[in-house]
Amino acid sequence: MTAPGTNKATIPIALAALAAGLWLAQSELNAFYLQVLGLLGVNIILTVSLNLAAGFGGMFSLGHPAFAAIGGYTAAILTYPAAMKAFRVPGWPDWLLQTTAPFLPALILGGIAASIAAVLVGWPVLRLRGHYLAVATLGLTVIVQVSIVNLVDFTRGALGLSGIPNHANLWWIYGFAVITIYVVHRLVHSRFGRALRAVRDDTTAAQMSGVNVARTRLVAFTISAFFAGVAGGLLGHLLRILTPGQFSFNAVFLGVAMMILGGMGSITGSVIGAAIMTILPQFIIPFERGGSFLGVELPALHGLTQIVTALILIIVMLIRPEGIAGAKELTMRGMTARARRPSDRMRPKASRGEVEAK
Amino acid sequence: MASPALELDRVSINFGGVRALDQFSLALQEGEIRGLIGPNGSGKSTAFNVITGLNNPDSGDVRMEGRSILGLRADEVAARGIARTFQNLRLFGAMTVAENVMLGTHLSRDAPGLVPTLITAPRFRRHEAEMRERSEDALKSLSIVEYADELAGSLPYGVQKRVDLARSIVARPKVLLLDEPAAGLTEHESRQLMDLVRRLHEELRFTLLLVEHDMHFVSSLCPRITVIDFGKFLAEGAPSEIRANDNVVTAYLGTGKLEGAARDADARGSGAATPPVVAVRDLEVRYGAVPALHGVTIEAQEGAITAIVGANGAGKTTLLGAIAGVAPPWRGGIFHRGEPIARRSCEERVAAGIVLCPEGRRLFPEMTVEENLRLGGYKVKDRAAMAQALERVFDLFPHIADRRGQRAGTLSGGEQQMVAIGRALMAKPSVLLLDEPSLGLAPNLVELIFETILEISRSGASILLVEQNASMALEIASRGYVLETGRVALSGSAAELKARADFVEAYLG
Amino acid sequence: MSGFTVFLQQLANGLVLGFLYGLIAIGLSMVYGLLRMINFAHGDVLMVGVFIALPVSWMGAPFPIVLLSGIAAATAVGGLIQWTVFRPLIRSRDVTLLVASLGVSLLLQNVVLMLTSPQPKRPSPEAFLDAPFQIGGVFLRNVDLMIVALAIAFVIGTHWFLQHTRPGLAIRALSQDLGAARMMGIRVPRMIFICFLVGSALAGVAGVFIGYKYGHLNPYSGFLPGVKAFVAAVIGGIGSFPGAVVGGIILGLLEVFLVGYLPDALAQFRDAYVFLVLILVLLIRPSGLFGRAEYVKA
Repeated sequence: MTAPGTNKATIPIALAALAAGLWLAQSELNAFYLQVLGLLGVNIILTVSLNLAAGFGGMFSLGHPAFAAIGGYTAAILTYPAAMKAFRVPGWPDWLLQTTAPFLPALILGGIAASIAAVLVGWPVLRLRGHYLAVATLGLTVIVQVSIVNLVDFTRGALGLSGIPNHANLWWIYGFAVITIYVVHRLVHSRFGRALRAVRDDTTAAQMSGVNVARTRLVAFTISAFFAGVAGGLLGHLLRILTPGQFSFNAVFLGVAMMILGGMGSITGSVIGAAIMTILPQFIIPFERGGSFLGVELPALHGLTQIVTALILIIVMLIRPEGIAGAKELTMRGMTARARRPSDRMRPKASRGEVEAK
Repeated sequence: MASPALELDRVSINFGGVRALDQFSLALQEGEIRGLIGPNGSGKSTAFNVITGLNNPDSGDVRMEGRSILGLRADEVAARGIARTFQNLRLFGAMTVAENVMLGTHLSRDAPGLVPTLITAPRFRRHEAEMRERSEDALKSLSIVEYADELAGSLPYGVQKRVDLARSIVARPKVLLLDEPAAGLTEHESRQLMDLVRRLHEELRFTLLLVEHDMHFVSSLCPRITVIDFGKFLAEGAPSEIRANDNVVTAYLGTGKLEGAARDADARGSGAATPPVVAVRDLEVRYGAVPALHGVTIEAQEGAITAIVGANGAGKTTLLGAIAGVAPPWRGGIFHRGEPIARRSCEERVAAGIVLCPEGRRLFPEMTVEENLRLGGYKVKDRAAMAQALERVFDLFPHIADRRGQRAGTLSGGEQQMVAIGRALMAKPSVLLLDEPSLGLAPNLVELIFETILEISRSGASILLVEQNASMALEIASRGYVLETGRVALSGSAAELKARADFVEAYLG
Repeated sequence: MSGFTVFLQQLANGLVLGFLYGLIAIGLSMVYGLLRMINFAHGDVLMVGVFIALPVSWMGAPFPIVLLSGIAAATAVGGLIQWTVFRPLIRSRDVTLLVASLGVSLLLQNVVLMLTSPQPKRPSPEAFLDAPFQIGGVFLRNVDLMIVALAIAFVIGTHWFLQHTRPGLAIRALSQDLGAARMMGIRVPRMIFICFLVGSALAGVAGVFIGYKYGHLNPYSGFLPGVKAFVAAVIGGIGSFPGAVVGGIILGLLEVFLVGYLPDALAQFRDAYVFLVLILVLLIRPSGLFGRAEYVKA
């Protein structure tokens, strides 16, 4: 089955266009643009995977940077040249120090490591109502952060793990982005996805249809963490360095911003959100350093990128909490249809604390 | 004899001191259609929740074909072949109709695992297509297949009801539980639904347990009916037997004995010439897509008791809520002494003296009796006036004066009701809206509550009284309205209404 | 130092930290009780309070003035964000409120960063507060006594406010049944606003004391204590006033004792333990010490 609004030819054409674009980019663009493009791909994977948990599963996670960190460090330590391992990260057992793993298995193992962390956190917390998951997963981000900084013999601590082989070119990154999008799309539009969305909207009614709530949530959360882990692995092999700072609270905020800007429960929305939040900062960063702009002397504006991210978070919530795409997928056909259809948002909002319907 | 298809065996369950089910037993033979009826709050929904594993009973057993299903999770109960619908629609509004119904096939045996799903294996495609087909078949049999790809939340109420039904039957359950399937439907729609259910039953041969307040619906569909009251088994038999059973009529309408009440009401009934203290005109209220009131017009006279009676789900609570300002009107007007108040906030109406004593009491359980009362007088800022009002309430209910320091949640049902009425009185209401003050109370307490209401009325307040106990309500009221599915079905002086033969029918079909 | 003295010293340190967590947790717990909202910006309100108190201190103002300026600033900021951002969202889904609070948190951190600098700061030393003393081998400074004394005073004050004033009564009613509270004629939005003011003021108190006791303030100093205080509120039972205070003290003691008694290599994971405790609490007793459970039966 394909999503409503796509026909059979759309997907091969889109893939071919993507391939052509990547080929052109690889051969024409300079290193800076390649890196931004690579980051965009990584952010797409992160956002789509976060959306699987939060948008489609109603599990609002603030731990995806932690999953990315776990996946990133795992993959990087596996592919790290054996010659350098012994004095950079001497804490690992000998057999690991002497091996240099190929890229693909390293990435997959990184994803699996992230999934294991997701099970450990998710199992106790996913049973609870309310947003305990948000705090518990934020806690995971703190735990991972603290661990990376302190386990110097295993991670090189705050110095960061530099000299990671540059395996992750655009083909790898966008290959995995396509796989992530495909997997999330396939899951959401399957028996499993129906159960997942049902649990998100009405746990009791879902149970009455025979859905095992705890298992459905945990499986979705684990798969989501897997792709976040893979994204971390790709990030390390793109930037060639991993530091704890890449997975700090700012990464939490950025991830949420990418997702809610695009729309919780929309894959295409996530792609758009990731694109905006990856490209926009490139224009802001020069202002952070200060200097002369259009003849106006500006001081260094530290934190400007974060302020813009923060304002996007707040303004989207105030004006359009469903994000750009809402919970729908943006398709060519959908765009034209939407222009014609009258708004269906006429009903008054149901409010909390009102008397129950009899 | 074969074990019953579904059996509740002496089930008891308590919620915070209230006995929701009390040694309740019920047995359904395979293929049977059974109606379960009872007044508001009698334990019907709790029985459903116990069967489906949402509530664990304190004692007793629930068996399906002789095997206990007690302690199973709701999804495990569903896996045994029990499906249900919900009174307040619980469709997944953000999913399409087809997806909603396909969710009903979640437990089908040859469902593909994650791996075939992820690689879009032929098995996955085949299964999806099959489930889609089964869902469309179910939708076809309910004549709503044309909505398959619409979002469920955007559809008219009647269609949503059918989607819910389709979702529950698509997996061919052994036992089907329908919770108020006709609630909110027009008469025409509910007749159609009845035929549908009958046809589906002939086709699929499930065992059906039906909770419904529309007696006509139950009587024509169910050869046998079980009546539950105060969580206890009350009667069982054919519809005609049930209608003739005095206990059942009493459970629904209450007994009507209150010395001197009728005289009182008559004396005050003469005030028809004065302008109404509260008037509602053409009021329409909706909850999302669910219509609760359609074009209701009523008037309440100054200083009188106006009774609003009717079956479960007729819209009585919504009407009071709209007058109090907690249920926003969709259209129509609400007037207090001729002044439009439909757009006033709830606290402005309280300040104007319109005070609601809500159904189910809604006390603040963690706070003391006195704190609850003080909250009722929240708008009274003067300390002396507050003390005076407290004194008055304690005079009226000496019983709760002794318990002023006790936490409200630990009181008995009757005491809680006294506190709730007292709390409403603290605001010195000129218009008191009482919603089901006798709900769930033992008969002697019911009498006490009604006597108190009369006393409050004598002191000058105008009262709008919503009651299940219609006989008694009409006994003390001067005027009455009978609501039926969100409309005023009958109205007139209380004495007139009681005398009318069709009054009982409005309740018992 | 003997083992017992070490224990007493840890106990004292833990109590001081615990009272600080308790002061922060009260606001978080009240807001969650009312709106089912995790206010991630609460710690940053605290941080803004200190950052306004800092220049007051540098100008040589005496301690009470510094404290009052911190309280006033935190209260003003807390009220401002409630009025501009959270109030319009009161009726939205709780995830909307959560995301909005994340946005406000990030905004406050970085506006302060832009206006100041990332270098750590501390208030000018206050001879009286820094004066050390010793009881039974336990070394303390006056600031420690001050924290405990004032925290107790503010907790009692807030408790009195909630128990014996009209708005206090209304706020408690609101947290139990918002719909019924509205039927009593309580102006719900105003009460929620008051709640934010009280919570922010208490956070301001904690903030100024964190400045004097630990120093080393930067624009990110508030966020983590805020989140940890939420953990404290969960331990005590979210929505419960005594729960917030007791949870804070338990968390403070746990943190100090774990760091004090674990070997050095493990003691560095201080922040991690707090969240391991959270996960443990959620696993064993999700309703906390004084709370009511919110379960999905699954």
